[in-house]
Amino acid sequence: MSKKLLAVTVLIASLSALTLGAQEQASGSSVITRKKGDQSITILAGGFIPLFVLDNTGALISPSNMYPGASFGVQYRYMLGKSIGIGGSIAGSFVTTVGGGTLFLAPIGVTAAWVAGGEPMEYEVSTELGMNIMRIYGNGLIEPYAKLGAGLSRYVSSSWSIDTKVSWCFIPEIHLGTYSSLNSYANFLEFSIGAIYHF
Amino acid sequence: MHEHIAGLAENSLPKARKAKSGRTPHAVGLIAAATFILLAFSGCDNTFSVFQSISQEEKQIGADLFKNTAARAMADDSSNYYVLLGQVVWRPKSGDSWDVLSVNGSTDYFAAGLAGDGTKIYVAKADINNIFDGIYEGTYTSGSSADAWTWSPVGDAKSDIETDVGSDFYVDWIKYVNDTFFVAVHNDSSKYSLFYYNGASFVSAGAAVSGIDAPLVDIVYDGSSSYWLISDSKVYKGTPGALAEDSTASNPDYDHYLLGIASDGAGRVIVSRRDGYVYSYDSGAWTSITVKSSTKLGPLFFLTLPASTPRILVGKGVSSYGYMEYNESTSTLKENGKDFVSTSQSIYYSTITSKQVQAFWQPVHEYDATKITLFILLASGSTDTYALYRNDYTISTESWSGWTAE
Repeated sequence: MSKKLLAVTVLIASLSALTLGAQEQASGSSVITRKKGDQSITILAGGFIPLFVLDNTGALISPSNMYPGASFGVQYRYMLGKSIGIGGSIAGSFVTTVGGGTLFLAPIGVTAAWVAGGEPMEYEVSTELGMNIMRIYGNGLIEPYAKLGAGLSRYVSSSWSIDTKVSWCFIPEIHLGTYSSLNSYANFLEFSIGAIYHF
Repeated sequence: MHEHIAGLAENSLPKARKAKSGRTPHAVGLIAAATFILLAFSGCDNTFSVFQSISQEEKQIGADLFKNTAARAMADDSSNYYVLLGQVVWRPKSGDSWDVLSVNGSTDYFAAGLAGDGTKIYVAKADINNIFDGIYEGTYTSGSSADAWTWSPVGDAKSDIETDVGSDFYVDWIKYVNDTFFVAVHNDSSKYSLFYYNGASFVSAGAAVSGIDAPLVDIVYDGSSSYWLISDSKVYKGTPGALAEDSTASNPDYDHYLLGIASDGAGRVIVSRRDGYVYSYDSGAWTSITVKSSTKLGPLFFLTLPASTPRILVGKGVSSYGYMEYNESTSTLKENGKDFVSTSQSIYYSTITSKQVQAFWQPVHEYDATKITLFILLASGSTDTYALYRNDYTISTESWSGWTAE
């Protein structure tokens, strides 16, 4: 119940941020021009859906025994030019398991994005690489991860825009030596909505 | 002016110092990052696979009766299993539906204790305020209605015990051991006493176990001559009515340290302590085994399946619970559901590990002659798991089925 409550709270907070942004837009208009040195912070919340897991031979592990969960994240971006941005991301996600467990994931990574479009709509394709802390039943692992995503955002004021994003998240679980048979490759789909503050 | 002075002061710093002060944040950051990564990786277990472990999980669908409660004792007759929760619940061995047992014509009661001898069951019945009523002996005939059992009181337990400890007493547990029926009680003054039924009335099991300050934990029979009782501080042995403190050298006595006792029925007794030791009594002497140093242990169970690799099951835990398996012949300790009884670590994690073990139990009568069943009784804790799980051992294949919720 508490996990559902957390997910609902995060969604409500995000929607509240979007609403506030929209209200700010109604009070005036602004011109948006991306340039080198622009920065932004994005707060995202949404769903985290297990797609499939492959074992060390590449065979599908079926069933994955994971249920859809939720995710929350904060991203920072620095524009290197009109279309290219780099930054960092920290997030938290969870999915529940068929046995009643909860898998927590906390990815921390660097991001790069190609941004297109102009006022009021912007489009982006982004990639993210980093390390992911996973924990379930008191056992933890730190593994690399990669994300590839696409997003759409709309300015609602000179400082705020609303954002929706879909990402494919690849998490290889790598074990060394005699335990390499435990290697697994998990794939998730993350979808989120959020608010971007530009400065 | 102030800015000018500050600027002069900055410019007057030696170049080396300026350079050092410029690097310091990076160095601190690197050290912090390295420390973080080191700490994080040190907590990783290369033998544990998150995703493959999850893929081995099984959905556990148990009876709602076993959620948010503790299973404290079990008993059986040839047809049914009985479990002590706040009340006694039962199910036929041939079925899978649990229900509250009507004791002496009522389901509106609190059960303070449950015991069985394989033929009859015994229930210490109290009202919902735990005011003791009496001990009832139930014999199952057939069917599933309330009158499928015939009930009769075992002596006049209330009157007999009251005479000794006063009217303000509560039953802690009851147990049927080697044809002798025991009742452990305490009163409002926190004095603990053990009684046994001598065929006519309940009498003290011994002066040494009457009105003592330490809670009584459990009693077993060693299979040869003595009953062994532990409080949370001392070991007692002897015969009913003459239980006395064990004075054998190097016994496990230690104030508030004793947690579990088991017997192999062939003269050997083992006792677990909260410091990670299991004490073993055999051939007149105590020896100690370090099962897991500085770890609070719990209930004990001699597991002789398969016979070629007997093990001791030991409850454990303070922050994480569950049990361990100790193989004496190789001094090997298995925990966290690896190997042996638990077929999958993930099933162990998703069923047992979040709750404290109350007891291990095997029925007197197996319903399926090809299998032997082991139950694990758990305290209340995580709301996502149940208080009772079973694990079936298939004799022909010498394999366990894995823990399954009841």
